[in-house]
Amino acid sequence: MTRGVLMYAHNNSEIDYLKIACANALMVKKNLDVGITLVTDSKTLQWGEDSLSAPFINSCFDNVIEVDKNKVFINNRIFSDTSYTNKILPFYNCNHWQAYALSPYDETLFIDCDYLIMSSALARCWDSGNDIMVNRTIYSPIDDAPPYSKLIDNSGIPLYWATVVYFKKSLIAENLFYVVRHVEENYEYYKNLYCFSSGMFRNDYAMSIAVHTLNGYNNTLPVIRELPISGLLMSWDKDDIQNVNSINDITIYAEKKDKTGEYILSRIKNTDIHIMNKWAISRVTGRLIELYGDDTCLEDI
Amino acid sequence: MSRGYLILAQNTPDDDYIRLAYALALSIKSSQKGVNNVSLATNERTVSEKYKHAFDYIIDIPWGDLASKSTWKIENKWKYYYMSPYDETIILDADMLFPEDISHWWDVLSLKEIWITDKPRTFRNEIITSTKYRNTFVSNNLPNVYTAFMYFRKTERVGELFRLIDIIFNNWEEFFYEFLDETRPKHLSGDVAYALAIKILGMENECFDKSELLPSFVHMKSFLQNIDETLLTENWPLHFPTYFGTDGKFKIGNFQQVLPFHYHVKTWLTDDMITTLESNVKV
Repeated sequence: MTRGVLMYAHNNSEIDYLKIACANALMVKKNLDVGITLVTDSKTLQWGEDSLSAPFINSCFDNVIEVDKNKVFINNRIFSDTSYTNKILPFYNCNHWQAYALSPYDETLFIDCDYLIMSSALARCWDSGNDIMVNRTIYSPIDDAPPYSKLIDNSGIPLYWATVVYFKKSLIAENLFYVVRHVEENYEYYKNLYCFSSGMFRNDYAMSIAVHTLNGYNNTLPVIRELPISGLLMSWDKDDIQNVNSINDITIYAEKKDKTGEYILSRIKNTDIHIMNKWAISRVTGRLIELYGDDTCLEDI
Repeated sequence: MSRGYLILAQNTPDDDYIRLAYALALSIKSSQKGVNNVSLATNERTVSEKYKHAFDYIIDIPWGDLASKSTWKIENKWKYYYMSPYDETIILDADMLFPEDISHWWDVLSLKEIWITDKPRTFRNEIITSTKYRNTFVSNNLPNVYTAFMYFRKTERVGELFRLIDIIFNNWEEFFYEFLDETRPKHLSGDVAYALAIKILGMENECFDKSELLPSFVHMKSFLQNIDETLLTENWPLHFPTYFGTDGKFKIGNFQQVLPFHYHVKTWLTDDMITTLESNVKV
């Protein structure tokens, strides 16, 4: 059984997803010690080779898969850098359904490149017996509240986070990604059917609908289980990273709920975390690469 | 040992409960692979011929109609034990449908002499947490009785319970005043009367179980759906769309319904749904 991590990186005019993916790939190597595959496009890769160097990129990933971008797909998103700044930029995310076919592994951890791997917790996925695992449970760094979950609408289905998806090459996983593709291709219809307001295409919604469908349109006996962790730790785009202290140790400014501009310093150690503020993560990718990279790969930058 | 479902249905000026009971009987006949006997208890001497085929027995309410002057028509609910033609009975409210086969429940339910729903669910299959209509239950620490789906076997112990329920129904004002605090209902409530009888006899452990799975049903009162009340009205079909399939199975808000479904809003049941159910029953 081959095992590995799969990540996507499609840069836009301001956010260097490839550099974030490189940093996270080094973190994966340190904490999970499995192969890593990157899915990207030619322009992003060219930018990476110019800014970081091809040998460095190759040292971060075992495989780099180039895919063509769908030029018709337009998906603009508000990218916030704390509560004080935001920008509308293109967000290319319409091809995540290809992950099943593109993954070279029997068992894959498909993660967003901004889900920083700072522990070995996800190693529990391997050989778990489940064909798919994806989380609806999340938790916040700002309080002691127990993990919780959301709905995609007030009266809607549970929101599953496509941030981390474990899948085994299997019929049910293939079907899941098939449904994700179907939802993406018929997004307006599903938007009306499930009454969600977001105009932007979100893989979280497509994944939620796919999970709901494969679970038989009800919550009775779910065939799709959650990941063997207590939840996904979420740092929202209103937060900022205060410092990368050392290996698997960062401190964030977490904005208090309903209190704009008031923060709690929260130290995260040996815990994976989803950093939604792409600018914040971009500000520390150099430091992460420096910390997690070995001398050989750093020489290539 | 005979087994079957019993529906008490009495028409009101506003609602044709016999029609609702007919639809429920059709849905039971078409969905239940095991027990699918259905009896109707009613005071309607002239149940329409077109409805009769769906019922195994049509039973005249014994000891007269105590609800003749009432609009809520619950005064006869203490008579279930005496009206049922079956050794083992599941009582149902008329405004329900069965989307899926629950035949396997019978053998589980028969492990107890009586088993009453105390954990109904939302259409999303969550256990209802709201106590909006249950102040009296909470305030008086009454068991959370929902008689809309209730199993019992005819035994001495269950007969004893129904004798007390009879007394409470027929003297409800005195009992409610004596045993309940100021949150007591100002009218006769079947669920409160049953709960009070169970509490007085100390039969909580006999009538309920820790099981969260069964017996249960989906209760569609809007404000029980674990959803922000300010977004809803009492007319839930305005908020949650229905997809009713040709096989009689249906989705609410794109959630497949698998439990007995207590739709509560009578206008939800359309003639088209009844036609679909009729086509699925081989008479």
